Amino acid sequence: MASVDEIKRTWLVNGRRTEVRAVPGRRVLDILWEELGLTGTKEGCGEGECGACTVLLDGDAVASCLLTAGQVADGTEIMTIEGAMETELGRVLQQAYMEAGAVQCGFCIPGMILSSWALLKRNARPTEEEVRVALAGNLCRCTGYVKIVEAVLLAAERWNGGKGGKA
Amino acid sequence: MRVAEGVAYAFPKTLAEALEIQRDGGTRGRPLAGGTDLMALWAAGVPAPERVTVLRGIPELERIELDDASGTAFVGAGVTHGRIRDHEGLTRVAPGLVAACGSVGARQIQAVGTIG
Repeated sequence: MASVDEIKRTWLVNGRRTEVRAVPGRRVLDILWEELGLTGTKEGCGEGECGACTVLLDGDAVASCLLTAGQVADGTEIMTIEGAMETELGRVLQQAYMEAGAVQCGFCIPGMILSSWALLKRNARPTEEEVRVALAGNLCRCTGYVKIVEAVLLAAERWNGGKGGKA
Repeated sequence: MRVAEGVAYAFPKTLAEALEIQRDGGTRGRPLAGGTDLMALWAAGVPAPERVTVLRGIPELERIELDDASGTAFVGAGVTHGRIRDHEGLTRVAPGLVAACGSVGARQIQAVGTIG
């Protein structure tokens, strides 16, 4: 077997410069959990189907179970649910999810909130269809999605009165 | 040890470097760009290779060039589905490709998956 050398990368994790040393094939999900103590990101299927492990990479929702450290360049911004909760948009989404009754077991919710965050950051007044497309990669076994979609539409209405803005 | 942790990675910075690595049987690795298919395969139990050559972040592979006069486009193999999905110019020249890229997996896959 070829030798596997550790790599050193500096990422901006939840706004903080974070130096990571890992073998390049280490999953970003495992680095978040085991090196950085960020356990809000969940592992559901481990195959990129369910969206529980969603994080934002430079603002885009990605599956952290399919991404290895070696694919993530120096300087990349990574936002996890912990970081989202430090933002105004994250708090608006959290409140809307609670009020809409969108959370049952809660396992899918960190990923749902991050996909919602990515959507509203780019599109402050999405249609219901746009919400459904943005959340299509996040599976929920409990709710049937109706209240989750309602929660995102409610958050959009509330976030700066529907004008969006700086997250 | 999980999925790809035993895999050696090569990080070419240019297309020429990547070709150099791939030309030699001693350094050649499975090309890895977004990795959304490969990682899912390895997670499902298909053995991971000894080596991969990372093709993410190679500028020549990430080019999109439009020629409206002839109605043609050049799309590099390392361009993600998401970039194509959101590219206004490509919507004019290659609407089918844009629609296809917007329907691969979901947002999480489109953001890193490439057309290859």
